Amino acid sequence: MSTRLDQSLENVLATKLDGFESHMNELKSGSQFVGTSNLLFTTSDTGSTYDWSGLLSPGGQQPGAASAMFTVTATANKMNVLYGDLIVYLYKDSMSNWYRPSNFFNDQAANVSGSDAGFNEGTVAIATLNKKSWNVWISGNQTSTYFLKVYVVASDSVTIAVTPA
Amino acid sequence: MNRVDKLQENAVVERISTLYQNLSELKTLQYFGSSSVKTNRVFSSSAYDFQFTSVTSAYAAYEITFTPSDTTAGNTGAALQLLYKEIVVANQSSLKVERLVPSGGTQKWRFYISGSATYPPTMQYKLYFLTIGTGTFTCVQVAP
Repeated sequence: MSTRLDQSLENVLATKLDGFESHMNELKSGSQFVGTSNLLFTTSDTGSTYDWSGLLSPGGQQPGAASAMFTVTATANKMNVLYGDLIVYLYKDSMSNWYRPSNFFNDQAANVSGSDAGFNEGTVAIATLNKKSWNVWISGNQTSTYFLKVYVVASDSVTIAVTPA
Repeated sequence: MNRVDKLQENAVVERISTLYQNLSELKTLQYFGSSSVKTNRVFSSSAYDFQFTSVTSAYAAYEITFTPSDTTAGNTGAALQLLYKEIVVANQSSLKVERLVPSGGTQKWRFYISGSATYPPTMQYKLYFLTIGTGTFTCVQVAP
């Protein structure tokens, strides 16, 4: 014959076991946020309207040509390994004038030297898996003010640093 | 029931409580970040996905949209990178690729292509997406 204390313990055990079984059933039947198809991705930026602005440095084959180089580094905020890609937006003369490849080809068609921006993958220490780096360049003329804005699409939110090279 | 018996029962409750807590924590969002990440390549069965032939203006633009298969949890199924193969059938053209800031769960790229009207090019482009998760993609000419 069980005492009141025994019954109390049995109730606690029964409650715990009910919860345990419920969780197990949910784990077995539901989608879990682990690894593959359910992985979230994040678009990050510095939060600033633009990450660099100024005149380009003289240089290039055409008269009046100019360029600038930058290193962009993204560091994962939480994860140990970062997968990601860079997005570069170039603005010319003002932030309301997004200069796209279409503008470049239109300038070329009008015999005007076009502006451009691009990047390639940079290097980080092989053991530094939570970082990615890109070499970003802008080419254009010596008189326009250019604005650079970057975004990182990655497997984690990142902290971005833009450093003139 | 003596004191020793009660202690053993308490120990069982304690062990189950710990299991319960561990399981509850497992059910929350997990941070990942190891070599266990599975990546996919998404591509079509076609020899090429779009073709540029006629030069009627300064450039032609094609918009590529990647849509993840599973969007139940929001911005899932990242296309981390778009790779492409450029096939020159006749006369080289000039290409610039622009990636756009993701919006509404989809990811977009634009291919801007310019060529000579005197020596009209025929260019074919085959696309490969390096992704986490799966998805589908479309190619639509948006200019001219």
